[in-house]
Amino acid sequence: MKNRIRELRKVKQITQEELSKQVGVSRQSIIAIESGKFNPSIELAYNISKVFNCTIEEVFIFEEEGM
Amino acid sequence: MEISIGGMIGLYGGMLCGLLGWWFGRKKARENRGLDELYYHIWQRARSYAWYATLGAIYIFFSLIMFGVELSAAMVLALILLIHLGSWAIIGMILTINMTVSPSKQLSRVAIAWIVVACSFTLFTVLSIVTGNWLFLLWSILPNVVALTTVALATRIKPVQKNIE
Repeated sequence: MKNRIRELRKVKQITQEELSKQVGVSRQSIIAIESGKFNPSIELAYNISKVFNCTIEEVFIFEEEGM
Repeated sequence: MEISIGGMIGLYGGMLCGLLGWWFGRKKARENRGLDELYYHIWQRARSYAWYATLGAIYIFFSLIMFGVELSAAMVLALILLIHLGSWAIIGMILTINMTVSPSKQLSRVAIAWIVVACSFTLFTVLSIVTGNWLFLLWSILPNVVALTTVALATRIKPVQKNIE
């Protein structure tokens, strides 16, 4: 699953540390999510999207395998 | 009935040190919001892989017994405990590092893992020959299992990255 967190962070000018504080997870989690190594739960995805005033679909791009 | 003081110190002292390390680790992680879903995801996966390592070790010990090797219960239990807890901790650390490092560094870890396999096998083979006790070879099981798991994990990640590209 791809995401636009890095891009949206740059637009909003917030660091990984600030984002992690706002959603209540560690900075390592934000790094892992941003790089696509870890898919967050629906609750965390919702909280991240809320920080950027976006919907989940606008932040996280779901790609089916083989597409 | 003899009581082994050294064994008791090792067993309960090790457990106490392990519990203290675990408690302080969690305390420190909580301060940095580290006890999040990624933390639980990593350590649940590590526990799952540790059971695979333990299962492999049990099969190895049963095979040795079937080949006529005499193993004491204490020795086998100690090794199984070491393999289970050791692989749980080491795999957890590997997965934690995997989540935050670039893919190019993962490749170099594969090389390190193969070096660990070669070195541990050589070291314990030499020890077995020098002491005349081949049971030293059993101690190479843990580093080898952990290193081979690292290789398996790193090679499993590669095709996914190619698909993304």
